[in-house]
Amino acid sequence: MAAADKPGFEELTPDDLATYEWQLDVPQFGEAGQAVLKNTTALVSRVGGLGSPVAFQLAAAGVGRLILAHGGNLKPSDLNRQITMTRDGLGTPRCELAKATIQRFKPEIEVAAVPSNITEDNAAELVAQADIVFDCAPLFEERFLMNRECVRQGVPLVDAAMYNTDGSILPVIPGETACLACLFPELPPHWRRRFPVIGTTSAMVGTIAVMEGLKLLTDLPGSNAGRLIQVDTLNIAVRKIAVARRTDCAVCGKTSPR
Amino acid sequence: MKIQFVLSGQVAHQAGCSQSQLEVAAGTPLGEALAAFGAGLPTAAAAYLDDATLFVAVDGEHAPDRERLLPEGTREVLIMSPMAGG
Repeated sequence: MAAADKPGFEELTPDDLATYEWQLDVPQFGEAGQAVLKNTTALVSRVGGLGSPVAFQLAAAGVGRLILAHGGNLKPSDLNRQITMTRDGLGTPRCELAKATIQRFKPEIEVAAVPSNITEDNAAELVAQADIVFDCAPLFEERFLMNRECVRQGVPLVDAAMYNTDGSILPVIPGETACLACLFPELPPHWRRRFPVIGTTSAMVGTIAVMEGLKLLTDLPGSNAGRLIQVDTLNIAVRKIAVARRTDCAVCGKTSPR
Repeated sequence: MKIQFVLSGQVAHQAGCSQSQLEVAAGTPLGEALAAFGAGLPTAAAAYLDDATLFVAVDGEHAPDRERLLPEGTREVLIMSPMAGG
């Protein structure tokens, strides 16, 4: 986590104070929380239906540096939910489109576009640059890899997921709370890459994921680390499920807090 | 006791509903209650109940142990298929 004693820590400028004036008045956030966000690097794994609103809300909140990792080009079927994309970008790399959208919104934010999904080759290096990771990938192989690397490096993770009009969010504090592998120790046999979803669901789930991330980064209260948040966006119902670490978890079973 | 079964993700999609009630005797093992519930679901949805990666929670607490006994007063069982991004 970014802290005032971190090398290179940047103080808030008059422009920052003007931009974030409304949220500086949020109790237990204030200038201290804003300064933490300014000095935070967040890695977003994929900027699709979930990752787009995640990246956009992180930028809105004032996170100073974003790393957006996503391979592949924009297709027409992405445009019902991938809100950092634009139709004139069809056929071009999605990470670059997301970067351009965010930099039009907040030019002062540093955005690194990585034209690749998370793999064994890049996971460790990307996580090492991040203070927090948001996992929004569609394949469990990628999600498990990101979970493993976050636990190994002690980097907080917010795992966000969706299907149809449902969603789930799992904030993970490595070594303290249940990780993704504690809940799903093996690859789900029924999961399919393409699934039904409406963009409002991905936006709601992504925004809740960012709220949980802000709580992990700052002194905002009410973190749901140690719980899985299940969201039913059709009936507007939210359930918070207590999840315990598994002592026999192959990923986090032997780790302690960093 | 009447238990509310809440379905989420692929299993809900296949079942065509997100909630249903079932009468379950106190002390019934969770696995037996799931099997009884699954007997009333379409075959495609019931298949998900045998999936080892199915996430199950009882009254707001993750319940990975299917041998766990459902105590008197149990109100809700959440059944959620794993989900991801996209």
